[in-house]
Amino acid sequence: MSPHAFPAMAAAAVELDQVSVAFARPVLHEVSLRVATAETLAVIGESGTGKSTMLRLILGLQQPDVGTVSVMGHSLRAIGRAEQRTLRAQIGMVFQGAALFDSLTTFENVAFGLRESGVMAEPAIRTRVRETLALVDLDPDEVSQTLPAQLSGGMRKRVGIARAIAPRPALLLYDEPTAGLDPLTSNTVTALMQRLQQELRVTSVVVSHDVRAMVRIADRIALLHEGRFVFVGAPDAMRASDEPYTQSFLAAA
Amino acid sequence: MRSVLAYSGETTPRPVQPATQLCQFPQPLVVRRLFQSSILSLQDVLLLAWHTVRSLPGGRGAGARLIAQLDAVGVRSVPIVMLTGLFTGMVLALQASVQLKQFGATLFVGRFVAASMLRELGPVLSGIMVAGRVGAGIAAELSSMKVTEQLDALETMGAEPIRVLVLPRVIAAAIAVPVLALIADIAGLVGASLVSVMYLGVPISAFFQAAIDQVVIDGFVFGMIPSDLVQGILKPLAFGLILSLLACHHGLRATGGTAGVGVATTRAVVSASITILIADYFLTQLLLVLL
Repeated sequence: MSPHAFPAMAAAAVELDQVSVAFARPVLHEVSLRVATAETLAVIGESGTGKSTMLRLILGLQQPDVGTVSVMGHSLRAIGRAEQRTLRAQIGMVFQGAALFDSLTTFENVAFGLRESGVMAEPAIRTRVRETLALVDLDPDEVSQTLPAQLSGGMRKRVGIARAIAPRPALLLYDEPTAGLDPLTSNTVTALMQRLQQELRVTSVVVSHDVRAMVRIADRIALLHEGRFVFVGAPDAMRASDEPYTQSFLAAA
Repeated sequence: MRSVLAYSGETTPRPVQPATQLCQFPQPLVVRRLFQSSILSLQDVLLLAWHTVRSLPGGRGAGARLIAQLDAVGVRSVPIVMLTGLFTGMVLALQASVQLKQFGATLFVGRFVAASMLRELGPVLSGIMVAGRVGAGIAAELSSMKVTEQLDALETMGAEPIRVLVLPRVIAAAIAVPVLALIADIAGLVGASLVSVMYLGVPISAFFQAAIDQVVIDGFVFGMIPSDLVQGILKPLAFGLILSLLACHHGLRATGGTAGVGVATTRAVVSASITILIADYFLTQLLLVLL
């Protein structure tokens, strides 16, 4: 597969090399992709095309059947459990349903990764959590002691983003960040993601079927179809593409 | 890199046997598949137990997590276990009195109840009641965490679900169930003594003297620990391990959204209750030989 307009001279934060994954049926088939440091790559496609599976591969929650996945220069096959944990500490993940811990307050949810890493002292954690909640436009005094069940969908999503960025990760993964939100909240979350990309300059991989939002925030867009990338490139190039499936996908969106 | 949850190496759910095939019993293939499935499940539970042991001592926050689970598993189970023990002791006294009255031996009701409660009913009933209350809770909590990606979130943040979720629950159950069994024993003896005094006219001091005599007759381990008490602690310790491991296993294995939560919960309670009864038989045989 071609390098798909990979930014010249940029170091790869994520690299998938000839990766295949199958469950009951093939999901990803000999997929190759490189994500440059500080780049925002959006992976779009129909439901069930393997977008979320790709994120699980990058997180190391799943092994490819064939091929290799490298994150920040480390092949996930080659490293041990302790190294995996160290590597994961540098990755933030925003889950589709936020995946907040039901029994913990908003503050404890955002502080969880910081406490688990054991790097920061408790006063520094408290400061970081308040800063991060403010960064995602939430009032720390208002939401810190609330449980996830007491938050609206948009607030839960923002808390999920805050939890992911609190440790200031080198790589940020979003799984359907605007799914299930009303158009206004969806716009707010997209604008928030755009602002975070500018402020934090973190490498991001965003999986979504929301083409409009992805065009706004992504440096490059990759379109998955039947387990393969049919297009990888800049949003403008995507609009100009004459590849039939890309055309029909954009028309449907 | 393999998820820590895939502790037997399985990453996809096992195929479910179609009901139409299961109805055509007996079929060697069906029996063989059920046997294979049981062996695989046993292997998974043993592997989970091994990973749980390996995750000791539990890392940062382990103490707080254990205390929270001791409260959830132990303290909150006290009322239900007390009630179960109390009425079981009362029924035992009533049933025993019917037989013992024929021989004018109602004074021995205390011995009968003490032996039954301490060796068998206290441990087994506590185990089954805790399996129902706590096992269902553990399986429901872990399975809903699984289907809402909270377990993935834990792993993403460098926290191993087995260390954070399974270890404190297993240790708490191993500590709490023996204590709960003792509480059930005491409640049972109190209930039986009430029936003895009120319906059989046995003085309360005579009832408890008979109960103590029974414990003394059954002998001591190392010359000082009543063997009935040893049985009454070792069995519920094993039951606590069994019910918590099975509940965690079914919770972590849940698939299929919210429907999977219900399936995992049912499986956890049924498998733990049955396994406790089966384990009780073999443990009794073993302890009768050893003690």
